[in-house]
Amino acid sequence: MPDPDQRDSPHEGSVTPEDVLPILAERTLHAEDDLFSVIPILGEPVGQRLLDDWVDQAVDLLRAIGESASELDQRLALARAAQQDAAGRSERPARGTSAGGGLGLGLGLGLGLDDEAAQQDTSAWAHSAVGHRPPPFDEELPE
Amino acid sequence: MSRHPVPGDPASIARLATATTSAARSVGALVADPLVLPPDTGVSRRVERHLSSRLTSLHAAAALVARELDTVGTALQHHSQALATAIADLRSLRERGEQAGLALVDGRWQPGWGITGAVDRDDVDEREALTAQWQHAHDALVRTATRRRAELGRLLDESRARMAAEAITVRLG
Repeated sequence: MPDPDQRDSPHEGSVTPEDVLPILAERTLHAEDDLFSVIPILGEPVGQRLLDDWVDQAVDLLRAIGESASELDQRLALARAAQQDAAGRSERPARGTSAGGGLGLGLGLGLGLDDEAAQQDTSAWAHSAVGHRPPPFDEELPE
Repeated sequence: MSRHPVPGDPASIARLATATTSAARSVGALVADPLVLPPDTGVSRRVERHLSSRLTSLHAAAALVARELDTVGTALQHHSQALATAIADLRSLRERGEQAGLALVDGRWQPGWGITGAVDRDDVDEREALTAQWQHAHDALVRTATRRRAELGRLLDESRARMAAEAITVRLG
């Protein structure tokens, strides 16, 4: 089994959250498994309870960190996708507007990106070669 | 059956110490630098502020868990070594006592099984002095082990409280 310390380490010098977050999520998961795989015996009830509680709490915090890292990684990926989608629509304005928001609006829902996607949508329309107004829904757009 | 005067399994505690310090290194290596949102994510200022705050909070939590795992892992390693030494010392003391015709029962030295006795008063005095000396050594050993266990317990409890508070912070975002 590969050493998690060595595996998928972010490259030094150009570390971004997008590099670190997936690895952090993986390492916290690995750490949880490692801590739960050992049954320490302290031999008397009070100390044993304190040790067991500590292990439970460490695993709980590692899990919270892993979940948060995964969620943030997903949010950043969605923001990046929305940005690329908006950039693509700017380059191809007629096709972009016909999608009615498409990826940017759809992926933003419920993830705190709604206003951003809407902003990008408006921006795409504003810079559209079709004109300064959105096309009517029933209008066929030229290919 | 009486409880062991120096309870615990040093090997299992050492295994947990190894797992804990290894996890500390693994997570700690990722939080050497702060997590900063790149400038070109293209999100609105409100979302940017939210994501930056979440990243800062996550970085603080990861740094804290790495510190706690390292501190407790080191303490567990020391505890397992001290416990192994205490168990060996106690075994050695018990063997020497048994060779001198004594038995350690519930933490007290008593005359061993079989016919014992002495006709010489000096022999009796000498044996009593030796028993008192061994009793003192035994009690000191048990006291030290108990104190170390209590110190470890305090460390564990304080660390657990810090991690519990941090877990709430991370989950609340």
